[in-house]
Amino acid sequence: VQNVSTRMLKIIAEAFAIKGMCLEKLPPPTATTPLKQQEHNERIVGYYEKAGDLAIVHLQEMDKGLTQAVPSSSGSYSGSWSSTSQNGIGTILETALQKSPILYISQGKLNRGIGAFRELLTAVESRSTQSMRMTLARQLAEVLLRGVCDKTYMPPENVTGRKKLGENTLEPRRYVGSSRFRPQQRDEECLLLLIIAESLASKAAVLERSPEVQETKEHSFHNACAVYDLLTIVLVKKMQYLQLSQSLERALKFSFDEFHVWYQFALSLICAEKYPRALLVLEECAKIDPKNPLVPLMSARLCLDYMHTVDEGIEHAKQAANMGVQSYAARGHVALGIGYALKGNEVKLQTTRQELQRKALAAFNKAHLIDKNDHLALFHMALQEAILRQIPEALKHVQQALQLQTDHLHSLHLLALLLSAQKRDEEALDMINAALQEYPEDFSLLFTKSKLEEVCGSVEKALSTCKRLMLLWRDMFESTTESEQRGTGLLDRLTTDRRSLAQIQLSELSDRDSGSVHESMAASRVEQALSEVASSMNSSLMPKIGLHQSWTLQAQIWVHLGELYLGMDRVAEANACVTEAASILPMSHQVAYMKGKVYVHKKQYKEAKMCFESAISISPTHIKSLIGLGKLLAGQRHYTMAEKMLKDAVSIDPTSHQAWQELGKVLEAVGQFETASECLMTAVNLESASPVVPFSVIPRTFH
Amino acid sequence: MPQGDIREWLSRYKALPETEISNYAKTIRGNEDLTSALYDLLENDREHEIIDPVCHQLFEFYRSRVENLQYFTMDLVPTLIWSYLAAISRNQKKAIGGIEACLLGIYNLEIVTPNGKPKVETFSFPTLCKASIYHEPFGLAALTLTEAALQSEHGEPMVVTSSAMPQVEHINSQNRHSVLTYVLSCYSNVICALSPRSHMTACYLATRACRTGFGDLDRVPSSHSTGPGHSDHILADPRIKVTPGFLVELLNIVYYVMFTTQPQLGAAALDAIHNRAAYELFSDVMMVSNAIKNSLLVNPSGKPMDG
Repeated sequence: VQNVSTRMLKIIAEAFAIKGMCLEKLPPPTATTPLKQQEHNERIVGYYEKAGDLAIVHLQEMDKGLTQAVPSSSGSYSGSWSSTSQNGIGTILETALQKSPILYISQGKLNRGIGAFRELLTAVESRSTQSMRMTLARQLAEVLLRGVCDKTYMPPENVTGRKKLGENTLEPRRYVGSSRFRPQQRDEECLLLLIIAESLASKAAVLERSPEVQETKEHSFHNACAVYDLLTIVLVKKMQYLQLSQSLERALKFSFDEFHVWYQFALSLICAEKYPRALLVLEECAKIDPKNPLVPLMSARLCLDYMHTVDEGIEHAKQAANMGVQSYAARGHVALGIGYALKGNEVKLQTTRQELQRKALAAFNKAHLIDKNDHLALFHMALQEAILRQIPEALKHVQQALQLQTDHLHSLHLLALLLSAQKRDEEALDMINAALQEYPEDFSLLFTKSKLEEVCGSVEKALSTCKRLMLLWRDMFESTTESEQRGTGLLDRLTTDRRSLAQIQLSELSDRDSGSVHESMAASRVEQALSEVASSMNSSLMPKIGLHQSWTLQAQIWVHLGELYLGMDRVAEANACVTEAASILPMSHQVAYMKGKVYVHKKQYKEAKMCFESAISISPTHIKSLIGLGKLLAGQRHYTMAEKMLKDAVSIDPTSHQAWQELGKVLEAVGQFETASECLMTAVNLESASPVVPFSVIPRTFH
Repeated sequence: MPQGDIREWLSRYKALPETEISNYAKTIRGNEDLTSALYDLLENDREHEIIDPVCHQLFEFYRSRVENLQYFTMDLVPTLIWSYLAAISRNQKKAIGGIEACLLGIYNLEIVTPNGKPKVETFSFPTLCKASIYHEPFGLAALTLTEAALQSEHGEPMVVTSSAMPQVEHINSQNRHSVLTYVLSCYSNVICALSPRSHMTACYLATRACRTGFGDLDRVPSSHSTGPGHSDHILADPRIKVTPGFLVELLNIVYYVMFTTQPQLGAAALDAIHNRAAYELFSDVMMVSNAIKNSLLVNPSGKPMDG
């Protein structure tokens, strides 16, 4: 058949389609061989395929006609045009088009089905087939996702090799050309199909909200949703959260009050690390479905773990805890406890702080009561008890937590610190070493280990642990920090040096040419939470450490090493460490404090005082600097000022035995013997239960 | 005597001459008695002395790079992972050295190409702006003028190269789940070739890894102020640690399985993963499980039973 009018084409196509349908309706010829049966099936599919091809040609011709001719001149079939432009090509042909691949697949011929889908989709699109294309694209993506794995996937072959597309054949025109994107993997093809479907879906979305279009609206919404759901499956697999959140954002415009889409959008924002925005979207979700306990729980976690907006977090956690679904309520109480505990750290007033700490403990207890098997509740309970210096209880609970999850990093760390608080330092060290077997790349554990080794009297080992920290830092961050140079590169020279740290003279290594100190813009920013950096890193989420944080970590290693050297009375090395740290982070209270300590060691009290003062002005709650300054002032007989500093220190951290001890000494010196002895007693009591590293190095998070 | 089958299998393969391996490989997966015995052994008897040689042989099968022998081992991977995780959660590390070695061996084999180079996968993200075999590029007018749309206007598909996975010598808590996740993704890559029984064990793995240790926590709809409160002791089975990546990989497997061989078990596994992800607040896993559940609920796209 050649040179037929478009109208004829349509009629012939419909004829084929109806023939196929009739054959399908007929009961298959009974009592025949499977071979006959198959023949019968082939015939049905054959008719549908013909019908489909013709229908597409018809549509393509129509489009051509429309662009060539002035609309009014084609009066003969203007009636049919207007109907097709509204209803596509009519239900008969539409069914026929979609039938052939489905039939193949239901007959178990998956690959031919996929082939048929591809045939249809590679045909050049015409105006009225868009909604059908969307369905076809989605269906093919579904088939690929649900029935094919990488092993069995065959990429679409090149169709350019097909017979020349003459004008007279009734083959539909296809997208050809070698410059076109041709998917090579299953997920690539799925993704391609889905983004096409998505763009069609969001175009076709019915935005009108009048009741008449309710049904079509619902239908188009469900169709679009199906596309977005598949897109989610593929993009999460490929971890493309940003792209996913952008796609879902487009879906919002036709998803008024649809919880599913809004919630998915919120989750995608969380994955893409856009926390503030995610929180806003979650609020919207809470409005749509106020009974869902997950929404406030998620918000609480965002506030507490990522955004440090504690008060808001507490509010969300309260809601989650009171919603009555057991497991989420338990986690809600955990969140609440974390919130109270974090807030307790910030509050200055002694009574308020105690109140918050009590509330936190109660919340953890409640969580544990509801959900006995939750290690997190037990761990946080233990941590809170440790901070309140209820060491035996804390030990019991952390051990229970470890029974529930034998390798919980923070519980292991806490257990080691608790052992050291009981002055069982050797056991604590064993514990840390065991934990390091499981988590060899955890900075926080290594810091504690080094400190413990120092306390146990083997400074050599402490130094070698320090070197391990440096090697680890280099392995993990060297590639990411290349874009920015800080410090003098002392770390590189140290880590490439085979000698142990005990033998190296740092001063010989450090760069004389101090003009080469690079200072970057970022470095001049004031530290926010230096001491929390090492501990807030979670090894399972390790890679997400910012550039700045990694530098902070290196500075922290230097400060720690400097402290070790100072303990060994090697002032020159300590000084080199501090200089290095200062060149990396010039405005850090820890570095300033360390500088001060070195000056104290060198008996240069005036400089030391300045350093401590600047540390305090950077971070007014830095306990160590307050104590250092107090001690210094006391040594210079400025007792009133010293007393003030130490009282500040005590009220910031009432568990610091050094602060109490120094305060006692000062009071003794001014003659307040009774209060002095009380302070000293407190110091002794506290000292007997204090760990080598403060319990606060262990982070309060949800994992 | 099921263990007789296993012992025979152990000794027979060792004595097999090189030339007969391909024939042997064709028939071995059809040996129902043997496979049942192996499933049973790995599932229920992980402290049995025979486990170590069995795991060793499974790894030998995998290392042979003979396709059917590899499938034979892959079929058992979900069961291996389950036994492994269950033992880890109870701190019985010693008992499962063999299983761990086998899984680690598969991992280290799979992260390199046959000639020993680290495997790097590239993936190109298609964009609408570059013509493909399925579409013409849309004009800018059709797209909403967002920053993203303008950025992607450059046209070329974004090509992403995955970094090579590191060689692992010992499994510890830090790397355990990434090793297991990678092995699962290898399972998922060949899932079409694996047996329905293996698909079933994959569902069991998902269900149990997610539900163990939760007891009836969610089934009792009482108000939390009274709480379950009946028992002060901790349940015998501790919960099994899961990571987001591990669950996403399991979800992909379950999604395939529920539309092919195991609709009911797949649906149960999906629910289990969904609940666990919600409990742990894993947002990426939740997104996928929400998507799958939603597409089943309001589907224009077919139920699992439709095949």
